[in-house]
Amino acid sequence: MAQWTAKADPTKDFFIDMITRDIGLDECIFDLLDNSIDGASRHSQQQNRPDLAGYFADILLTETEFEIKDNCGGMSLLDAREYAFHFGRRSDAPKDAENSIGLYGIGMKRAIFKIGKKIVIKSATSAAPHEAFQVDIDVAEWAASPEWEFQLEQIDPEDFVGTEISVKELRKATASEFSDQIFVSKLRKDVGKYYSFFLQHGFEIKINGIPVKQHVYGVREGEDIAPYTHEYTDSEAGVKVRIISGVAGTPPEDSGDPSTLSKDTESWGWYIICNDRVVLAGDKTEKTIWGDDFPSWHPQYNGFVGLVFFSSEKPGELPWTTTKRQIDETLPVFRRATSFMKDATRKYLDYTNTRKTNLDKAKSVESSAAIRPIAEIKISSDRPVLMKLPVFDDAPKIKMGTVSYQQPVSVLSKVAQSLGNSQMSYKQIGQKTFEYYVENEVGE
Amino acid sequence: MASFEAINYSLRPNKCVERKIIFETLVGLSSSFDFSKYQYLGMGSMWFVDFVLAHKSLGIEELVSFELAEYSPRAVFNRPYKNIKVFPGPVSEGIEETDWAKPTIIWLDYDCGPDNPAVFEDSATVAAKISSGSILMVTANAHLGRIPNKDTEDNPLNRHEGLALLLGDAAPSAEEFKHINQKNYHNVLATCLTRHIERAHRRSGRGGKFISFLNYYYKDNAPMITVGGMFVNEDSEAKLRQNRCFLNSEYIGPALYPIQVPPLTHRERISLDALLPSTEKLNEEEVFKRLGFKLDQSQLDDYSKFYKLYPSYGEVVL
Repeated sequence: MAQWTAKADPTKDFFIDMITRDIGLDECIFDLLDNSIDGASRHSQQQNRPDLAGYFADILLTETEFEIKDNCGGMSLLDAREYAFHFGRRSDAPKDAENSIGLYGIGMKRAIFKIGKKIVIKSATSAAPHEAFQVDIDVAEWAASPEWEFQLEQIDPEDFVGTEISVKELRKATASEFSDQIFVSKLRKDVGKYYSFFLQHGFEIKINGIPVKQHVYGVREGEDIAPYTHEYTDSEAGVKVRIISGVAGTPPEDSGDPSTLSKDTESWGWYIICNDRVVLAGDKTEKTIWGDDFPSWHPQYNGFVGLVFFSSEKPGELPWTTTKRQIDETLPVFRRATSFMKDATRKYLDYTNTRKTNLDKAKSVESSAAIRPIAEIKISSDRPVLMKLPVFDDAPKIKMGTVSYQQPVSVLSKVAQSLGNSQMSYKQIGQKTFEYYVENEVGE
Repeated sequence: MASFEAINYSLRPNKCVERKIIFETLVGLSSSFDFSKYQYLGMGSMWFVDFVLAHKSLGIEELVSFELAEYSPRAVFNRPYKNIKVFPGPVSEGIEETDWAKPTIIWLDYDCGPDNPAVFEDSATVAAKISSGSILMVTANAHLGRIPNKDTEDNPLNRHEGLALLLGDAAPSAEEFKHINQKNYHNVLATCLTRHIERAHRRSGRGGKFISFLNYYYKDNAPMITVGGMFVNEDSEAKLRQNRCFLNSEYIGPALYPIQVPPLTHRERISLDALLPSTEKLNEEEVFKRLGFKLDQSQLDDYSKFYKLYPSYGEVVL
């Protein structure tokens, strides 16, 4: 028999600190948005609505307060008492909305604790308006009390159906980020990217009163260029998988010129989407397919975009982790998808090599193929449809030589300006100045 | 515009007025802050006009001018005082070698715009290192033509895209500034630069904040903006907020203060001076009646506003 006992109960302070430590502010807001969207999906199913039109989430962030307000059906009293305020999802939690994106039952608490210290949550449903409730949390008080409880007060919802969370007395770091317009506009941009497919289905999100614009993912489709498409059901996991990849931008002319490569590369790479939520964006690492037995990402591949959609009624089968912003790349359902993703990439990588020697032609073919939104790309075949890329006839053999030399950057930028494009790549500067010399000083 | 209304660029009267305003303001603040113990860092070029003011009117003893290595011997030759050190090299290196524990007044006086990444990068580095009670001013070119209209692959860019290419996250959003044009670009750029400075300071984890209050806009030829202010902790913020000049000066505020002085001959100037100060506005017709020449009402207004700061130029035969 044990002689002594060591008490291992966590203090609430420790607990709050732990759950809020490894999450970013933008992720907090995403967690709360995920809840709203879950609610909207559940509600629209109950009401047999075709999409998410009419549902909204309004987010307000300022130096002094945070608020998210939605009309996504609200929380029932039972759900609130048994699940929403419980830390960690109980194993007997009911089946969630079809294709739900929420899963772990910790998002809301973690998010609000991270944001501030005085929290008010109100929720009301249309089915049971008399069960509308409000929870007031003073984090300091709650942390000081021994009970792991939240008090739910009954309220009169009037006509309100939905959930409203407001946080005051923001944490210091939160307040200063929220007061920063750069943070706010970046958030708006990121929400447009990560929630693109919900916005597509009619869901509306406003941040500080301004509607978030959907970032429309697309790939070029035309006579000589068409995307890779493949759709299948992963029978073991029961997960539907859809893969689309293709040319979205213009590959760089000169990937050896660092000055032209550092900017605006975040759009390229692989995107992983679970139940319409973009989980991983523009990946260029071994998390997806790059490196190891496949070529590592190289700036030469700029312009490539690939999207994999995983969807399932059981969110637990999808390859994501608790934060929903990271994939669990070890899951078999994901491993199995990577072999197709590699097929969906390889041809493009080769193309970036061949296009170098046929640059003018490649450019004209590329620009003649318009970028088509992903939602408009139909997948008709059961089998993978390979990517279509321009094929170049071998040009008549002309013996070529390479000219390469260095010049001071300050001179190069002056030349670029006088050529009419201050951002011109060094390679182009060389090309253009050479052409100019040939034209003016050298006879045919 | 008639050619005599164009400004002799080498004289830059508006720039001169701005400099006077800034140093007049700093002198006003010096009743609460002992600037004589500060260091002054700037880009004195071959003329060191601001260094002379920093030394003479603020009593600063430690002065460093950043000058490209190539020109630094000439700058050393031209420095008006021997306590001005010339740092030979790019500003970014000068910033690395500076002792930031010492309170500082730094004026990054660029003539380029955000097309030169140094403008935003150097401002952010300074903001991340500077100590409280210090002052940062950044001058940059706000000419629309400096926004790239093509990317590296020659694809056309609109102004938002062009600025995004240069500034990344610091670029203005289309939600906030629907259009970027001649009319608002100086404000757009000033807003972006100020936010960039605030953000860099906040993220440096040094505590305190940036109070932006030295903000000017003028056009000698190219439109130029200056944004600036003080990095404060609680103590220095309290001192600043009680300072009489800070509370009362019309040259202090978060919005760009427009500086515009009309080009006048010496004779015109002294005649107008003789009518000033006046409780009544100088009036176009009144001036014509009394002096026999015409100036636009707007020019008269501008002159009345800045007559005390108006520079006078003359040739000296040595």
